[in-house]
Amino acid sequence: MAQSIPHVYLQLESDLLSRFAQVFSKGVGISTRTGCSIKDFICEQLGIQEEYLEGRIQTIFLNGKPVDDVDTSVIADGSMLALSAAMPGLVGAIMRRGGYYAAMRNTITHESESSTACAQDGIVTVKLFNLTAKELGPLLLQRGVSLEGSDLKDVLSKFKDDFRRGCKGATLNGEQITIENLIVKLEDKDSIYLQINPIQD
Amino acid sequence: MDKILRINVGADGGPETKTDPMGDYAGIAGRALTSAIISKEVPPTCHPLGEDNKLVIAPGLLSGTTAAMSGRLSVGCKSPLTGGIKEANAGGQAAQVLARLGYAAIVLEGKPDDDTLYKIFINKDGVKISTDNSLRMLGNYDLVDKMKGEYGDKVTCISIGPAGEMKMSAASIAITDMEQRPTRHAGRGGVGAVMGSKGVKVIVLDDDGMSMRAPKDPDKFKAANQTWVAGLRKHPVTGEGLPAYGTNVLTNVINEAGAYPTKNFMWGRFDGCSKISGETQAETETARGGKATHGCHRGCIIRCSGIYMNKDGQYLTKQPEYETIWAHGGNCGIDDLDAIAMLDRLDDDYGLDTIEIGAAIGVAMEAGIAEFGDAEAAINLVKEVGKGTHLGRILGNGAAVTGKVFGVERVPVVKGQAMPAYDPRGVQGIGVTYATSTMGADHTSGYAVATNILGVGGSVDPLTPEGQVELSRNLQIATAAIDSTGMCLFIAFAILDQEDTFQALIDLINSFYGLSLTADDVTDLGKSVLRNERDFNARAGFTAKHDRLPDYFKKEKLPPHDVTFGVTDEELDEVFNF
Repeated sequence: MAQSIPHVYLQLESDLLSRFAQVFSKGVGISTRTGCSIKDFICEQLGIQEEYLEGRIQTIFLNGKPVDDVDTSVIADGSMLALSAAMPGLVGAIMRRGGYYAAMRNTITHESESSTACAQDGIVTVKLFNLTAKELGPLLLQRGVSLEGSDLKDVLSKFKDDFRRGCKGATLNGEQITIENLIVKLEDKDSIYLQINPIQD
Repeated sequence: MDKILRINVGADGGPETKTDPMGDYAGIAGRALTSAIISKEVPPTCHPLGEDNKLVIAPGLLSGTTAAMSGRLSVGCKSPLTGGIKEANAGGQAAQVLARLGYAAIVLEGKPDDDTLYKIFINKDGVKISTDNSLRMLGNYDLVDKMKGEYGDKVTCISIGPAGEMKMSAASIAITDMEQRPTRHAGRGGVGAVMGSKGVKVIVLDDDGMSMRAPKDPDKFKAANQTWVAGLRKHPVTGEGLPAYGTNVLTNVINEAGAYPTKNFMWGRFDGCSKISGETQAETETARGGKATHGCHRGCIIRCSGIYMNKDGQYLTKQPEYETIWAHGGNCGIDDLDAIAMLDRLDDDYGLDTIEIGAAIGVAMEAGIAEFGDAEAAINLVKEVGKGTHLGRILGNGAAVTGKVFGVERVPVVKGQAMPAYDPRGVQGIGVTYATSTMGADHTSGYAVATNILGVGGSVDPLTPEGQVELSRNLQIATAAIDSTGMCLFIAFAILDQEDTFQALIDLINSFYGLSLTADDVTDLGKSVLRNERDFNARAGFTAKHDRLPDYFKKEKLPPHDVTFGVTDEELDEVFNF
């Protein structure tokens, strides 16, 4: 994927990475090995610590269905995985994985499965909500994600002054470009591959 | 907090006041007290806007103390929206101030002979009631500004806007926050219409010269409060998620679950969610110089609210809550955060329940009065309500009336009250609570997610329909108990997960009153509240047939999961079998 679509590379002051929350709530594409459990995908392939998965990621959806067991729910090519910290409200508690009130949404719960998906390269769309976007978003941006060109354009346009100040380098397909010109170029791009190198102040 | 202030607005020669001892009501507060008074003193078949109905305003057991999170105010009456008993509660400053003034409740009784408007001023020296027709049809913001000019910048106001004066069934009662803004509302069930029917525009409270309520055992109380605060701060929901994003943090999650009612409950997902989510909202507030975290009353440590500025960096409204963002947003197909914030401001100013009005506009949009997604049209519709035009009066009387007038079948109400922001087909368990709550469709009726710790979880398999019913029953019992303490319901998450935090809540009550309550006693309190409410509703004519969702929830599949509501009527009838 990274080779076949336009490649945007940004060097940004690290505080600007929080501006991408809206992008993560819509979802970004991750190139990965599929056919594994959610736990393997998160811990082994994304390199997120198991303690973080157990302690922080309290709510998980696979293809829009709340997940209770991360060991038996399998990621396939084209899967949509959404991660969230603990949520307020009764319904927040109901959505919590393996929670006391999980039974109250049993008609939409993701059913565990024995792994029939073949191990193969594929794309998984990952959504990060609330605290997980803040904490895991920078990791994914450094790793590289695919997204709609218009979504990146929206973020850059909304916070143009911030990015103009905090962007220390930008390239499009290896060629230097300004933020203003990048915004213009993104208008006709369906999908792009974005990688960000954060720079500490 | 050992007396009840009764104001008979229908007395010969003008309103009369008297102060009663607690009598039969000793030992209870908040929702337990409002429901006890209504159940005992109000004829269940009376007209909600007539002389026999009463409006009861009561702080909770721990309001006015130094206990964190103890600032919820309960407002009770016979509801003009549902025809049954109602308790609506709100944050803001009033519960703390009223409790420190020593009142367990204010009860407005009778009906004035004419349309004279009254303002009531209460301070340490007593109660003063005066006529003030210059307040007529003022919005809550202008009204509070006027009261500030008259009584100073330390007072707290309980007020109604034009919707309450026009006795609309969606009218709320506004409570001022720490900045003296009328942003906290006892929203549901038309309590503002009942206040309007009593001719009372505003109650101004001044606790200058009063001190915090003193506990029987100060050392134990202080220790319990420290444990309580530490427990709330260390929990990820009350200590991190809610302060960072407010309740609107739920938007993305409920949408992802396919349970986000969209365009008048036609779909379970809304494409524009990311534009109106809590994450986007917090980012917008911060970028414009507002606040993404803010308390609604002194003593709140969760601070789930915020300050929303317009594009020019000027104050527009407080941070709208999840239910408001949904009602005016996804439910109407609107993904413009600024427009939703404006609708919230208008609702607060006119004194309207954001859920009921958002639902009514959704029904009106389905009827073709406006297009789904047309934010400007939605704003104009709410302005019609504020002006009291014919169309505005239809909308201002809620989703059920709007549906009848415009011949819409898909009207998401139970007992006449609009459903909140969770589709019961996606989350069947909450559908049980919507159907059977004494209040009409209400997400907070079964909110206190601590039934396992309370020991009322029961032994039924939660995966069976009976289990859904049992969970809903126990949630409603626990919620009724917490509503009586004056505690914000958001404490529920910390006491669900942390047994020591739940014990700290019991210790706070015991050390303050010199009691030795157990979890069983708390459960019994919740049951007694529900029994009072069920009894009132039964005498008002409610039967099992009213404990139902509208038929279309059983027939229309909700995309994307294509589910219908599957809990049977027989199962619903078991909820109150205790």
